Amino acid sequence: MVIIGEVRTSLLHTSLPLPGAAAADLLALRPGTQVRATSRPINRTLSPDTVTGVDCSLPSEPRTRSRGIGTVVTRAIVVGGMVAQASSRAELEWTDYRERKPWKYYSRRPGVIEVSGPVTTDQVLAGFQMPSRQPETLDLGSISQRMINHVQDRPQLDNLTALRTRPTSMRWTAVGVEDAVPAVRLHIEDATMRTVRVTVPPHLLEEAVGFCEDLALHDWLYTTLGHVIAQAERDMARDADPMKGLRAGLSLLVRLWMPGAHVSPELRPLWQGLEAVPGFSEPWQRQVDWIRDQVFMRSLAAVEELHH
Amino acid sequence: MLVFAASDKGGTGRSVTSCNVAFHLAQRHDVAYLDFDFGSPTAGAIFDITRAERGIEQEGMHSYFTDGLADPRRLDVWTSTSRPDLRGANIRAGRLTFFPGEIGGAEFGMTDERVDRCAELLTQLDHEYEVVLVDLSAGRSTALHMALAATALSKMRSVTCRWLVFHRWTRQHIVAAHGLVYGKHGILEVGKISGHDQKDLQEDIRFVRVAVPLLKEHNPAQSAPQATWLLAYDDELRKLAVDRRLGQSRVLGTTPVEPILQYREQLITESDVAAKIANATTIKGFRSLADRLVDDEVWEGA
Ligand SMILES: Nc1ncnc2c1ncn2[C@@H]1O[C@H](COP(=O)(O)OP(=O)(O)OP(=O)(O)O)[C@@H](O)[C@H]1O
Ligand SMILES: [Mg+2]
Repeated sequence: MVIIGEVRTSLLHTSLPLPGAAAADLLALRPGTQVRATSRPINRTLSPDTVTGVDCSLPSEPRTRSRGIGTVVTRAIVVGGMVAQASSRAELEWTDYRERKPWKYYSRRPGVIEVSGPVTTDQVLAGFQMPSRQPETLDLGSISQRMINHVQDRPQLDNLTALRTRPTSMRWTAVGVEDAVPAVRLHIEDATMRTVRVTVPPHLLEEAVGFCEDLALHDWLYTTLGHVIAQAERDMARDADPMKGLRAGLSLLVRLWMPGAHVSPELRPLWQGLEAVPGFSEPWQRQVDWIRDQVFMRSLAAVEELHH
Repeated sequence: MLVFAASDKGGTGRSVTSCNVAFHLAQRHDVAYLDFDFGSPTAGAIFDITRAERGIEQEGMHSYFTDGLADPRRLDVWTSTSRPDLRGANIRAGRLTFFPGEIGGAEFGMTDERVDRCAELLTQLDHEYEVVLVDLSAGRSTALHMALAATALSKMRSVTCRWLVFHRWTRQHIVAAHGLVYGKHGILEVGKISGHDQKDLQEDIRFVRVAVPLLKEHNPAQSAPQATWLLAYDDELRKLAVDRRLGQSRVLGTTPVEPILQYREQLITESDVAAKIANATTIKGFRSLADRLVDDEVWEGA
């Protein structure tokens, strides 16, 4: 059993964090649909799933002929009223038949893509793990991107930003293996693209979705705080004031850091592995400390100047 | 901040100047450069990105508007350029991201859907980059109309937009630049129809005088009558410019004639000046344009 997915993460186009009710309103994408929200330990709101029909070949490595017919489900997520994620996923099921069945058949099974052709599971997994997408194949990224654009375009947002940030993409695969000990491998492909491979026992496969979303969120936070520091250093190198960006970084991002908080308890050990290698919370804390020190020292210097 | 580069005539130096300004801005900010010159995208050559000299084959700006492509291709200038002196220029430089056009691309018509997509892209990039520079191609192009319509949408009201109109320092260029802004079907008229407040829009427009010839003091080889004529005619152009509402208070800056650029469209770097190939005044001109572009005081009431 295999699930593939792609998560796009970006800062919500809002100057202040949205209160819980506003986030729920934002993600009620169609009238009458229910959003799901949890408020502890941090507010996380989920839109209902939207369904996209697909009929295309799948990325594969080495390139092998395939046809995937079915549906992709996508949901939008808002964390802490500040970060927007769009998460698309589909379970792959190998079949023998060739002809396309009526769409009614596929729409009854949202989030399942039926795969035919000589392509193997391993080839598809390898294809999805390639750093650059193969043209003319299933593109979960653009489905997610459309969802992000849709959310960012909603009238609940004031379209202002206190911090300019770069969205990231995380392409992931989750494989269900009987008796497997949960394992994860994260690969940073370039400045904005990450690939992730998760192995779990089959009954935890659905939970892997939430884990990957959580991982994407924290990878984005970590990356973004790194940019805040880089911009501050750039400002300092030319005697410009770095405080605005540093303050925005502290006030908007730091309180969102809670790896594993929204992950099923059975998959939390995956986080423990990532905390060991490559390390997340410890270097994060060092970055936060550095920013706090800068803000503190600069405030102190400003006060001293006032007294002279 | 969104910055739109327009000109009435082709070949005014709009692209070369914009690329150089983007290069200077990127020394301290994250900058995006979008090639909206759908008919002849050439910015790749100016950045010396060999594989995008005349645009890329697919997934460029063109497909974003015509094929519903979600992620138009981005090229990081620092790592894609074949000029080694750009790559190593400044270890602390911001990002300079180039969104290339397409080789086979042609102009296309404007639709409401394309205007929405334009607004979507510009909003997205405005939240990602400090400065987003858009080369709108020459004349009253689709790109210009689309940009005016997109920035007039209510959701883009909060985004800072600045419009640059490039022109050469000749009689015809001054008249043409005047026409592009104030004339029939010009920026102000089309802007107003699109929903802009005409007065606000006008305050967001500045002119850039490109390749202004050097006068006597910089060019001692001139004969006396020649110098006198040039001085007198320069004065006349100044009067004409004021008369046509392109006067000094509406000028963002001026670039001098640069010999390198008369031969080759490219970025002018400190190393070109150090090697005494390029004039220091050229870099000064570009740098001052970059500084003034992001200086709010310059843009408060013309
Ligand atoms: N300051 C300058 N001094 C001398 N030549 C210049 C200067 N600025 C630009 N040029 C040259 O002018 C020519 C036209 O410049 P450029 O291609 O940037 O114009 P453009 O307005 O973008 O043209 P098009 O409308 O065709 O896109 C180029 O050869 C360029 O190198
Ligand atoms: Mg050009």
